[in-house]
Amino acid sequence: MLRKVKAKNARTKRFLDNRAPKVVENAKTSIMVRGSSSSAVVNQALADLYSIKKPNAVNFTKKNDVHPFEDTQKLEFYSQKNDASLLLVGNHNKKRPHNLTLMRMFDYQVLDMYEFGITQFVSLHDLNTPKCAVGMKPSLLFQGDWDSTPELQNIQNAWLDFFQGEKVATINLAGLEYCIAITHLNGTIHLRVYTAHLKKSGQKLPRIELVEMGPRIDLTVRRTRPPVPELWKAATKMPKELKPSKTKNIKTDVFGDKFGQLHMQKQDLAMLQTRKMKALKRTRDPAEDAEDDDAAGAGSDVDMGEA
Amino acid sequence: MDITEQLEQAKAQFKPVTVDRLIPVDLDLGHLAVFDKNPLDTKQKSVKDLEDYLHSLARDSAQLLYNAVFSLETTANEDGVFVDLPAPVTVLPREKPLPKDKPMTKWEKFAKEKNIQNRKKSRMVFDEATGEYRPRWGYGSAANDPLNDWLIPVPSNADPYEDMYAKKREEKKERVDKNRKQQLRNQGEAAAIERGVDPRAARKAELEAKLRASKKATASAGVFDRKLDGDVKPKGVKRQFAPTVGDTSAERESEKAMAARVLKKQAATMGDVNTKKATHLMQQLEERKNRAMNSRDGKKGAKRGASSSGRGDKGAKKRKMK
Repeated sequence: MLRKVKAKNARTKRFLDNRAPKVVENAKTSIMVRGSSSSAVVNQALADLYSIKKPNAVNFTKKNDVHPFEDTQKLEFYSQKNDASLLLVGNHNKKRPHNLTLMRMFDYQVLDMYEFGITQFVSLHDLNTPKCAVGMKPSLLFQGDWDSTPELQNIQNAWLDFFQGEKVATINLAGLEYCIAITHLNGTIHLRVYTAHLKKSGQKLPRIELVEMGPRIDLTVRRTRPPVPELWKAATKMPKELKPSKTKNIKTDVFGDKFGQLHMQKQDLAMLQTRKMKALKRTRDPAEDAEDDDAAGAGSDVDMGEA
Repeated sequence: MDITEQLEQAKAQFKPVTVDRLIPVDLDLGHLAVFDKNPLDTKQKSVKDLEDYLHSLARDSAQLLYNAVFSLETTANEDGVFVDLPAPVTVLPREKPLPKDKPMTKWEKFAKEKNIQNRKKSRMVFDEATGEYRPRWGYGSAANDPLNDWLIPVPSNADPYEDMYAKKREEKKERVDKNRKQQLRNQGEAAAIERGVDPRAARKAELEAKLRASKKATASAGVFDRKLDGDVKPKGVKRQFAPTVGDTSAERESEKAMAARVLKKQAATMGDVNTKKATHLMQQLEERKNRAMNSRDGKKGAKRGASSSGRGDKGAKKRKMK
């Protein structure tokens, strides 16, 4: 639907290269969309999740006529235009009150969708507790039974993907500011967000105390559309640059010495390069030796005679 | 014994950092995630009890996670204490497909063969003459300084009437053109490889085609030209005519294929047209125009008609705002 843009200067080229497929990808951006009719609860929930996911989030404040489970064309367009692969669609109607749909995209096409109903919601503005800084990486705590059905496993994967944040290899210990606890209990999913406070414990490891930051959301699972196996396989393919390289032939023994085997070509021992000894130059039989000795002896006698 | 007692007392002042769990939790430190599979107490008396229970569960899981993170190898920096997180365990889907491998350029192939490493050079270089840092290349660099050639000494073997400044400009132009030609060559080769054609064969075929075309590009279409020595007469392509009678299925197939190609191109430019929406919009436009014509006098109505049609496409407006 979108026309292919060609870069006309270095700045636009950099912009397009940032959005192009890469080996190590950017952090996933989310779009919070409102449906044609949505409730105050849903709107506040979207706003709160947007403030948690900032700056990797876009908040659409206007209503859009979107129905994820019927037609995904509009949502795929939004995904492509904003370069976002996570969408959170909220709407409200008599049949499905306070509805929240979490969608994931692969290559700007729908990968999977999970619809939830909000049964309880407390906004983070209603909890007068300290909030964490914007853009921190959260610790994710999954509790309860998530393995009983493949649907729950997919949902867990989707929430992990949603809250993941930036992909980091090193992290500052002071940056572990908040935790998101997602508990599956009695058929409801309880989503709680806490700020983590490190207290003295008399040892190197600190004592953790959690203070609820909000929002507080209880969800029930409604409709789901799990990923198609081929699409999932394509989406989880790892590029060969990121695959761990196997070191062959190198072993370390108990003392920490490094061992490896040297593989040589077959050597012709007869043609080995050694020090040249004239005496060993050619094969000598005893007869020849004797002749040489005599010759040597005769020569020496003659010399002595002359002298 | 006294010391252990004292230690125990000191420890007892603080809350414990250990957490006992029936089933040990799964940690995915690469994602800073902890998966607690222990069965939960499903009977909660009230909402407050539930919140407290969830809070205590979360605290315990967080404690286990933080214990693991704080036990990793730390590196202290002026910005703080950093830990190296291990590789993530859970498989999460990518957002875009894997990038396609670009074919190597001529230089890249050569560099790989000779094992030439690309060493990053810094932009600023210390200039001895001025005693400050200048860019290595480009505007403001020591090499490009316009005051450098306030005087160009003419070497003894050079033509005394030659304009040295013009010569410098020409050489620069040549270098830029050479670079541009090499870039185009690389692009052409990459495109040929992507199509699956050998780039050398493609270039040769292109040259031959150009040569054929240039031979015909005379007033007599190459008929009355003097022939050069060693010039090969180009092979003429004979036009193939299908038989007029007989089996027409092949012709039908080719015509069908041509129609499909044309329609495919059309469909690609137009996209999936929502015919219902399109007809509805057209109807609206017509009605508005008619209303404008009927309600006011001709001039005003026409003006209104023009402005309303500009605002008719509601979908486009919405899209622009996103």
